[in-house]
Amino acid sequence: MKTPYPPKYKWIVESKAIADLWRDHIDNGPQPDKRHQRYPLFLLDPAKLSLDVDSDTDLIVYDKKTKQLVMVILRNFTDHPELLSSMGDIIKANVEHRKSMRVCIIQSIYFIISHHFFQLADPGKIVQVGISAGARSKPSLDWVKNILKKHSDDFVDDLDRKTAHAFSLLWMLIRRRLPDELSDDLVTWMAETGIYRMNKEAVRGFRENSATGEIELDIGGNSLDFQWAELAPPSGAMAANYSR
Amino acid sequence: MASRGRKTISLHAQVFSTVEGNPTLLDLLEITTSDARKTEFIKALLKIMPNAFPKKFSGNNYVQVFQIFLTWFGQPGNSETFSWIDFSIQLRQRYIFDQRFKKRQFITDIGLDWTENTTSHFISKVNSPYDAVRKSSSLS
Repeated sequence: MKTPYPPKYKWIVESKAIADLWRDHIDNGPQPDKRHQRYPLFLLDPAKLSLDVDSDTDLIVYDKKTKQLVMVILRNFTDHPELLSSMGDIIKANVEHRKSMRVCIIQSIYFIISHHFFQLADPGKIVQVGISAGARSKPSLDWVKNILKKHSDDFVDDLDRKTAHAFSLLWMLIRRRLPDELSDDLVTWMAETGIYRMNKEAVRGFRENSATGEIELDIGGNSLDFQWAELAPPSGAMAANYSR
Repeated sequence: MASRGRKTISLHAQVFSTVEGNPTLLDLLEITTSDARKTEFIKALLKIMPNAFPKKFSGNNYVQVFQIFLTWFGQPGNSETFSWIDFSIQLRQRYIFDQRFKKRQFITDIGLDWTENTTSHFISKVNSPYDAVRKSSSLS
């Protein structure tokens, strides 16, 4: 599409009533980060939209000329309340106990030390889980060290294990339910490099590095273990109310 | 040689007596259906009896040590002598059997079927326009 519609960098409103409701806040309300310019409101004309996908529609969009995948919309991807509840608990625990990964580093020419600021305009929290590439000043592959408070090793190991198992299930669902072109690059890269999967025991040398392993999921009070589950790619993120 | 054999049997008996007399260990043994739970059981046993396994097994991971525990218990006479351990292992087998059905149901429910190519099956049901603006109903 040569000219995107609706245009970028604008707050989209669907009616004049909504625009009137938000105009003062958008134009004059306090900004979390004053370095960003304010975006103006833009009243949407639905007739100009190429595609309007409602809330109960699944859709895969390919480019007409190149036949390449453009977009996938799948509603109710994990339509299993007990699984969602279990995953929700794991996400909450990670968000509670880990440091947010959205930080802005500003290096001052007058000071030797650099300053870390949380992205002011980003609400919510997003945390890294699995393997980290380390600090930019000292890169090294290891299990992420971002636990906020001092906890016992058993507590952290348990959280890491549950998290990795949740990601393994998500990865298997992605492999089985999404078009292959979405995961092909990642699968090829993991096979070619032999990089660790999201498996703390393998990273720490307690277990052989393998693409498969045993996972255990607590679903609705039942502990279900799966032998030969495909383990997730090395790193992932979990977020709560995060947007950018 | 005979002395070493007696020592080994004595160690096995001490380990089984420790487990037999400890309801917490018996409960943990009953649910040792995954690597994590096997590890938990062996860790709990080692906390009570640090020298439960000879040093030659110290390099093994806990899951392998658990297999060693089961191998030891498989020796004749142990199931009669240590009936609570035997009962816990029987419950463990029943638990594994029950969970198998639930697991199969769960796999079907979330569309994670190992036995067929679910990707093409799933994707074939999703609308896939190249340029058309049309909607499809959600998957059931």
